[in-house]
Amino acid sequence: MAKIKLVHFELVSLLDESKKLVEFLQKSGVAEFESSENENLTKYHTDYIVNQFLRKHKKAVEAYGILEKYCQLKKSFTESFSDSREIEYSEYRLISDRADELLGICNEIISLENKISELNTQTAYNESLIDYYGPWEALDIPMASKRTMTTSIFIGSFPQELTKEDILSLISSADDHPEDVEIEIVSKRKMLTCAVIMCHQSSSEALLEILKNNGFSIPDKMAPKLPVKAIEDLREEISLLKAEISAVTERLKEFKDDYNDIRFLSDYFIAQADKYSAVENAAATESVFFLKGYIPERIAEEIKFEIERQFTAQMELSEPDYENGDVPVLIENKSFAAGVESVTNMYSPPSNKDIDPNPVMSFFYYAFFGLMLSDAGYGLLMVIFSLIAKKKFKVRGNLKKTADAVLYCGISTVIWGALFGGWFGDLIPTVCTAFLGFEKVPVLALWIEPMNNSMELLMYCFILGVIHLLTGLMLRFYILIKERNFTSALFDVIPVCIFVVGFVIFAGGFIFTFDERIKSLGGPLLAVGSILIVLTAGRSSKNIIGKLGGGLYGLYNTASGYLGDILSYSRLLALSLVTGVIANVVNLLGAMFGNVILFIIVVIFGHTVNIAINLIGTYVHTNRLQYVEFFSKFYEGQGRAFTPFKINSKFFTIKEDN
Amino acid sequence: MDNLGMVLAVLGAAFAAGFAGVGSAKGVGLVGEAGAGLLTEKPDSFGRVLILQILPGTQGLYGFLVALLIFIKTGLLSGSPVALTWMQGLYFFAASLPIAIAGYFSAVYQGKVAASGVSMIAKQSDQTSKAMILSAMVETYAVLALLISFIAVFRITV
Repeated sequence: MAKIKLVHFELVSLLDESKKLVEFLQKSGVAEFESSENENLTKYHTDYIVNQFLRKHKKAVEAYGILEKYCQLKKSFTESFSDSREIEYSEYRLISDRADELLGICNEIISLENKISELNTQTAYNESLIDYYGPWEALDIPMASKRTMTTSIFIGSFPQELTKEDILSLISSADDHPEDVEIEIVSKRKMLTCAVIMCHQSSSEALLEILKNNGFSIPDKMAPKLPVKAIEDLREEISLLKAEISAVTERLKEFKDDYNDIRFLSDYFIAQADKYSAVENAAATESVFFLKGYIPERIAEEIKFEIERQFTAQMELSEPDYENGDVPVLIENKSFAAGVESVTNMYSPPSNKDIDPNPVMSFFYYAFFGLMLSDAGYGLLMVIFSLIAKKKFKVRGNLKKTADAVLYCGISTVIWGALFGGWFGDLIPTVCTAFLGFEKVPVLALWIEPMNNSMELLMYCFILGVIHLLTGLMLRFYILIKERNFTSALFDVIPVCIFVVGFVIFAGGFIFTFDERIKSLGGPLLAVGSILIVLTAGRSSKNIIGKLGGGLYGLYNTASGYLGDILSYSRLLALSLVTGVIANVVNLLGAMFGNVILFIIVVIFGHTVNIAINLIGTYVHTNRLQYVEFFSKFYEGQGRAFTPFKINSKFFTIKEDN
Repeated sequence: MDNLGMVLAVLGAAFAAGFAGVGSAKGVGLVGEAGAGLLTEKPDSFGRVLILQILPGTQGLYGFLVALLIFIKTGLLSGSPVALTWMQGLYFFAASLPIAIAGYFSAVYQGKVAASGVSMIAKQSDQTSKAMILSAMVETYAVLALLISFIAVFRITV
């Protein structure tokens, strides 16, 4: 599979049919447009229409958000995966006919929501007034009363708790105080005393002065009538408001049935906006419409045939201009290799010069991931998780690729875990000895136990690493041969391969124990490789000294570079040990109390944390081994991924009509 | 003086878990500070920031691993400690040094790189992978140190 060949197309049609033609291309979702720059042709400027559609889209999103809020339609996180509905294209057309009607409904929903929030504000204001008048409820005259025929009345409050006598003594302690002051306490509580104070009109100013000096304040909101009556009215008003709110909410709920259509509509508007921004790439004369771009070769003829049959149009297919054109790259893989596409794209999507690294990389990716996580229990959890995502929620697109990657990483983890005997660390032996009373438990490892044979495992890690590196070099060899660059293929790749193999066997001989016959090969291979590198690496220099210097420098570079690269694979062992040891410690801590319930709690919590930390660590380091050690051997990237013009939808998928 | 061997061995374990742990705490803290700044502006970046923050945390685990291995070898974990000569104790101590030293410093530097990575994703949120890889480059040396400590502890016969 791998890289899919694209061809360039140029399409001319009647201007009258342009809209239908663009819609046809959007529905097929196979072509990417490129801008048609030509001074003789008119360019389209569709910003305004695009923005209009985006505004309408926002309205629809707001409207279905409101419906979710009021009709309890909010989906749970897991449900949101399986949200999208399959529809026929005719159904899609149907929605477009109803777009204006539905948009009207959206507007109504939004205005109803505004109404509700207005009413809520009014209710809250009334409630605050009730709180404000509350302390005055026992007052039997209107709050705004100022005077009678002969007396002045002050209605107000002190910011502390006072009795009638307290207030009297406050007044009488002042110089020049009026006599005959009448006081009535309306209510009092901590920090607030509401009172009515009366005196003869002649001494009102003096009294007010004294009162103010003692913190007396006149309320700034006066009930226009008796407070008790005002409160009653407010309560009545609130109950009316509440009734209105629930009436409006009911009206809102009547739109519940339109929920799916409105979500649909939001997708439709996005598709329309996409359509008009794609038209920006087109050009036109007064009667002719012109469009160009890229399309996969395998369907190009079929699309050409369809377009020329359905429209008054002419479609020219040609070989893409890889030298000067900005040709996108389309990658397509089976699920095994597709799982790691995102890893490659994160580094940089392949360019037209690269081969698709995913099929080769996927083997190493899954193998390294499993080796670093290396716990069959954790692997099983990953497998179960991804199977649920795939079967129950029918994930699609990139999410499906991720689910696939998790599945294969999980399977690999189970295999490595079983080889190393790690099932949630040593959970099974721990349970057997601590709770079931076994004396001895059989070794679960099908191959070796990392803790007891770490040196042996380290050797295998290095061997895996060398295979990884050599594969990278072989891919470079393949690319160079394909480019017909035979000198580079012969002199830049082969000596390095010989050198690396010799170096590994030679250096490994000092540390590890393996067959003597293989060991004896190391020295000669290393020597041959070194000599070849010294002879070839400096070949671009003109004179003999430059050639020799370049060769020696090349040897130094190769030696130090590959030494670092190979040592880097020791992280395979290190991360594998970390997962296993922490898992064991979790089990040990759990079993320490000798209590089954505590054991279960500690084990669940501990393993969850361990999985989380190690998943991230494993992911990062697996990626690193691909990016730094593997890609550096052959991969350049910097490509542009092929993004066909299609209907981008969140809530529905259009069925393929066969 | 009978227990000097064991004292030195435990000191080694303490160095491994302690220094590597402090280094990781510093590193994780650095990234956390930078990340909290970004999250006030872009709360959706939480996942990405969290991944970057966890990266300098592994050195602490490596130190912990070596400390634990020393405990297992000296029988402290099973509750029946073996008798160690002071030479053997010193050997354990020496074996703990690589991860203690390289763990501490690599965690701090990895934290700095990851914190810069946070400001990188503040500007371009699709660059998380590059920030991750830059930060993972530093960790290589902690991995190598772990390996040396590990092999050394493992190869001691007591």
